[in-house]
Amino acid sequence: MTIREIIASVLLCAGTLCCCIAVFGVYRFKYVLVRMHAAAIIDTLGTLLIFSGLIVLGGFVWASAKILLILLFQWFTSPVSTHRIGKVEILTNPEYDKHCEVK
Amino acid sequence: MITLSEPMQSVMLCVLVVLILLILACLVYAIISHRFTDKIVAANMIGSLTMNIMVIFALYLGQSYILDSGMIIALLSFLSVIVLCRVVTDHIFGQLRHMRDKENGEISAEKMAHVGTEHHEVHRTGGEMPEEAAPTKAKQAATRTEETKEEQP
Repeated sequence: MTIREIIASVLLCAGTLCCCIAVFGVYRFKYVLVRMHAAAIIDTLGTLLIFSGLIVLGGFVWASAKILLILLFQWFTSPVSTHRIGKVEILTNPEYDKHCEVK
Repeated sequence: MITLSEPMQSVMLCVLVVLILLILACLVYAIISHRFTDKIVAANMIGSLTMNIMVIFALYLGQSYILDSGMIIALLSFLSVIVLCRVVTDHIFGQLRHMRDKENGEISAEKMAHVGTEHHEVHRTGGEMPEEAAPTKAKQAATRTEETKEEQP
């Protein structure tokens, strides 16, 4: 294994760990608006770490540019879809503020 | 694309297996959750994880055309979530406009609380039937069995 492959392995494992934490948080939290907060970790940090590991592995080639494009697309679209899901939840559940009280 | 060494290939295979197990966990979560927004969140997560798996698989195989498939999966997952949320939102706003036309511009707060909720009553009460609905369902089932009994002889 070269140094480049070691760095890539560490980044890939860190990204997978972030995805595991996100799924664990989704199981652990009690309400949808709180769960979305955990689910967004996959879209931002997990994808960032995994893709940066793959870019380090691939080097300076066209495939890396494509991976960067997918990462940018994911970063732009993930907040939009999360916002739409939150809007639907608030419109359909009149008692949403009972589930997430601020103490 | 580059050729990978033996240990790097096994690391990527392990990462792929863990991500697939996470997709299975998301699927189980989508099945056991009660509210339908939970299921949309699970679908969103499954889309993101699938995109990650496709991109890792592209470098694992050394075939760059799989990256395009990953891009398409990201687009489709975003589109499905947006369309699903859009349909529900338009349904609720349509109900609101209908009530506003019917009552000449004023909606009481009591009716306002029921907008968009009647179809999802079963989801919010945690899978159990509402109190009025449960006995009628039981009655319907009883009458249905009686009818079939009468028909059989």
